[in-house]
Amino acid sequence: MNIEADLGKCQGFANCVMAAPEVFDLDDASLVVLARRQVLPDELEDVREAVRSCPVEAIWLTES
Amino acid sequence: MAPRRIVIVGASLAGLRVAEGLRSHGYLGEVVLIGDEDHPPYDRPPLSKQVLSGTWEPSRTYFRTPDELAARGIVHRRRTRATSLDRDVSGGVVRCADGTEERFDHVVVATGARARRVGAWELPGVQTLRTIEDVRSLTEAFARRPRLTVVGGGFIGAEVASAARHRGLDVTLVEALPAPLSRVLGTEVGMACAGLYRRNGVRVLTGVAIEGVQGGPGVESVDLTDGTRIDSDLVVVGIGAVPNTEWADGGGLRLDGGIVCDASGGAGARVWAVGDVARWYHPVFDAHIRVEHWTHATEQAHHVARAIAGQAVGPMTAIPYAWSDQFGVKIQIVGRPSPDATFVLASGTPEQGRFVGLYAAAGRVVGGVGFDQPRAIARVRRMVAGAAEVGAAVQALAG
Repeated sequence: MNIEADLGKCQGFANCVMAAPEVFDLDDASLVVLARRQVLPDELEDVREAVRSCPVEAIWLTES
Repeated sequence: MAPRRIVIVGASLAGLRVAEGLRSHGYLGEVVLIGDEDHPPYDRPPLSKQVLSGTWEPSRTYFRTPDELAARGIVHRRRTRATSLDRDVSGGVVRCADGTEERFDHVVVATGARARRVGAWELPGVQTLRTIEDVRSLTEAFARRPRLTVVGGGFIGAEVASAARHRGLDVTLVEALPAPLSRVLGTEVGMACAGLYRRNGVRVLTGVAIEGVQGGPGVESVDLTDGTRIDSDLVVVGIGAVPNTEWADGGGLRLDGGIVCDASGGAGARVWAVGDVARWYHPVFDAHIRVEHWTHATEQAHHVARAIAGQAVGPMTAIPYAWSDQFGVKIQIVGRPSPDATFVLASGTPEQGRFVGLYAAAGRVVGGVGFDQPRAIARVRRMVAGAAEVGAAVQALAG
């Protein structure tokens, strides 16, 4: 699975950082930054929670 | 036998997420979502932030269009207020104000909370903020450039003050406690908030209560118990919310500051409650807690949807998390901070504007607060989940 992010939608809520800090961060402009696009198997549940917890649906998963 | 018809009462975030969660977990029966508002399900946090500050149109808060709901097989009944809940051996009936009835095999109560009001202060120009209509009316009032008084230094009050200053209005904020947000975060962090508001041009009055609101017909002033009179054209009251449980009183549920639920959201046979109205047992805190946070509502909804769809679910252990955007600072709170817990500064200082603080009880981390420190707060959330020893937690955050 890969993570996709739409910086035009991101509002810097940081909910993704809360759910999966090993994958998501915010930059100085409070926009989402991905540590990497590919999701490791043991991170998948946290990343799914991050996707669910984004209020503006700025991140999502795609099949790689 | 699998339930054939699920009725969800309340069409805001928690209710919508249950409906969509049922579908994403393969539930094929009927899903009916009942709500008393005349909008598609919409998101409330942006109302006091992006919408009130003029960055977003109100319709941008809509989660789904009616077509999207229909495509997911979700029947959304708008402008429909549930008035009673009756249960029987196989489910029950929700009765609505328009005389209709909705038969259910399982019911999910997601009726949320309403803004607390004070009858003696009711005048034109005295408002609360909870709905799209509230924010439309406030936005119109802001355009007349009123002198604004905010009553209550909680999150809503602070965000309204922030949006109003963003629009250049004259703003006074009154908080009965010694500092804004101190009921939750304690005086030290509350003082930091007061400093932030003052630096942004808000007149902050603390430790003083409201004597009354004067005017006729519209509001003219807010009078304080110390004799201060604040000339005001607009008053926003942000003094908390009351869970909407009254309609369900006949359903044989335990109503005690919310609908009392077990650790999976069960309130009784075939009855569930999620979101602001629900008071779930939380195993980490060994207490029933009602959490008015966006993230908690989504986590509860996900949990209940899985349970109804027939998946095995244990107790929900997600640690409460909330955020607030005020005057350009992202304030984040995890766990259960309280003025009674011991406050420990882990990094930065409140005066610098960026810091992380921990709340400890019996030497263990029970909560945390951060100003513009999302990564650190994510770590604190895990420390609360693991009941980390506070000294080790401070060291870990400093390192």
